[in-house]
Amino acid sequence: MNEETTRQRMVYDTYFNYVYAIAQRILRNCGSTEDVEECVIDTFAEVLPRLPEIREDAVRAYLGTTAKHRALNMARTLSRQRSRSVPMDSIAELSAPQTVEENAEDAQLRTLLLQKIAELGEPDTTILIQKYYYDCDAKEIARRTGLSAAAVRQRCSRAVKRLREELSDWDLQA
Amino acid sequence: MKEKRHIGEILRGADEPTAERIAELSPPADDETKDRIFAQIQERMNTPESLPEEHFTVTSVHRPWKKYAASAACLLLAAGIGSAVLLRGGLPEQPPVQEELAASQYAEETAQDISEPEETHAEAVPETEVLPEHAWTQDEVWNLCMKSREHLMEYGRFSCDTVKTSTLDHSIQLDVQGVVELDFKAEIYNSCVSHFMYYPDSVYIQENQWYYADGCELWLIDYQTTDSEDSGNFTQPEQAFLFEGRGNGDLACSTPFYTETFLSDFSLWEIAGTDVYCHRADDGSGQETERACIVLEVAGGVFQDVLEAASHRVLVDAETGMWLKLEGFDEKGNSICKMQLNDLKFGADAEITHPYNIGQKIQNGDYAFETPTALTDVFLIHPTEYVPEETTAEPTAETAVETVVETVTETADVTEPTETAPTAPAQTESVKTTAQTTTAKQTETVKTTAQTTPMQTQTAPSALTPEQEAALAQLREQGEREFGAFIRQEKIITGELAADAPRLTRAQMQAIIAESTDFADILARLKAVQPYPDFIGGSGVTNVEYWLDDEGKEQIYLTLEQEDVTYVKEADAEHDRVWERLY
Repeated sequence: MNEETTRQRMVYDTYFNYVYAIAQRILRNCGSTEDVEECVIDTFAEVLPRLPEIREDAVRAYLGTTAKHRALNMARTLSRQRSRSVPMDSIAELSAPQTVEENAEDAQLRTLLLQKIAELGEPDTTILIQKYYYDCDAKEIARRTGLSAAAVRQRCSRAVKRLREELSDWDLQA
Repeated sequence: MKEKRHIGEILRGADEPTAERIAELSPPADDETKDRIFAQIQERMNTPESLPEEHFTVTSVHRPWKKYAASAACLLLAAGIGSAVLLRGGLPEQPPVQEELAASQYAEETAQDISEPEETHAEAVPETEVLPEHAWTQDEVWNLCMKSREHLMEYGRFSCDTVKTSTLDHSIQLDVQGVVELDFKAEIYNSCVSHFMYYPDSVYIQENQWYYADGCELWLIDYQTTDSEDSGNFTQPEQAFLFEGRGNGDLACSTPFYTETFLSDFSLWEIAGTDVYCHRADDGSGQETERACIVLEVAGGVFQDVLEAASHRVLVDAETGMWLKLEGFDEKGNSICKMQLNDLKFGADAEITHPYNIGQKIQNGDYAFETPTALTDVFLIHPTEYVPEETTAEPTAETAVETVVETVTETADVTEPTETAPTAPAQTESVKTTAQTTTAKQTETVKTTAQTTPMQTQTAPSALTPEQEAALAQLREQGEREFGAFIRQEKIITGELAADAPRLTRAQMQAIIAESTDFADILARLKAVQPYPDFIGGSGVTNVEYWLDDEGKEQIYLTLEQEDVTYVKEADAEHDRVWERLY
């Protein structure tokens, strides 16, 4: 691996989660996992060759902007192409704004939920996030966690039960 | 009234910083996936297709051959197929059009404005319409198959009749059924039923073997020694075995898996045409199934080692994309194995029963399971019996019988039988299994063996009153629902443990941990203090619970495979839940 490739790989490793998170967030309602990956690939394929021209402290912003731009373009295109049409407002960045109260409540619950999920510890944290955020099925999660698919379901069920108990102010549904 | 909030909805509404935090908590991709994506990025950067942003466009036509090429290559390599395998009927030797198509199509796409997206094949083809054969492309077939689960999600439930197994048909019925969980992103679960099988004579089941019925893998889920004298139909040392067979219906349930497995390499398969799939039910009803299907010819296939097939023919349901039939052929073109559905039923027509209702599967209704001291690979492992090192169970002279290795055959036996166990007593039946396994699978089964304790024979509690028996049955039913058993309570019911026997305390546990050298030592010392945990259970992983109070609001919680010990205290009105790792 030459020096340039090494740097590219380092940048890729550093910002992969960031770029993926942006693409995932925008494409989740209209695209597949493959679409998200395509967006990630396109983003890095565009930015990595230009690394020498980009200031080091601007790489993150550059990647973020590129990812968002590409994801939005892809989301628009996909939503038009789908026979089963996806409303444009289902795309995160294009959705109608909620009220301030709704936003605040959602944000509070989201923060709390994430905190509780993190407190569950591994592998339950991974199981819940992979299932409910990345939409992975039990088989995929099992492959990642080294558990059996049945164990994943079982742990997931128990973890959700715990979350329900701990966040009893909300009627959490799995 | 509290508003219902779905966990997925809450998370998916994350703003960008939260999304990033979620990605940090649980990265979206494992190392393997990241490596694959990076390789694709490099490939993209090194091709002329890597155009400046202003020419960028996207398409909903995926390039699955890129995504799956690496995994397919690995699988093919693992299966020992390599590049030498060609289609039985002769496929083009060179990967025909895909890469060229990919390149030219991409070039075309990139020349278009994003506001005028290109019509894709997938969108041009209504899924329920059977097209003339020339209209089907590999892309379309791939997409149809990969999206087959959407049909399950749409209907919510489905079932499919399957062809009865020929190998174990004296002892096992293959039902396949599925329930689709209708939440955000529907997920198929319980796609297959558990199968109970028993043998009137003893038989030795090797845990490091694969078991097959009609080419379909069976998973050994549980086994029990029987109360032979009371049950009437059993004599020592008979055993009952519970298998979960993914069965022929797995073709429908897991079509995307089979699609990835067999069709990832587009150069190894072709569309032979369209047909009407007819099947007459073999239950005497005379019922016929007719479904339009697409016929695929596949060279080799990654299951070659298991099924001994040089090529396969696949019938894909043209409406749903589900695979209706997968048939393997030897090098001479003889059919040697197949998985095949009779019919698919959706919605209200689907017949669903609870797959874990083991009791209904047992022919003798008076039979009751023993206390699960005979612990198995995936269900129950008693902490004191846990064997962390890899071991291979050797059959004993009393229990071992002849195990003949044989692949399910339709028209010809092609597998050389191999003896894998000592000779059986004359009256015993043989279990046909398949010895050939892939490397990956062998690793998995070895691991399973390592977690399995030898079968123990324990005399069932005798002279129980009807009340005790009823209480035991109820408790065991509850345990079964929770994938485990309530050991302490059982011992109390049977009188083997006093109801007021002292419980483990947190201080005791901490002292044990402090004195122990490792996790095995912890288990041994724990056993000396508290031989009966309140609960042992789990599936795939084994959780052991020692309650510090009668209701289990405070627990010492062990996960054997992870070798961790945790103190858990449930939340109450004043306190948050405590989850403290002790070891």
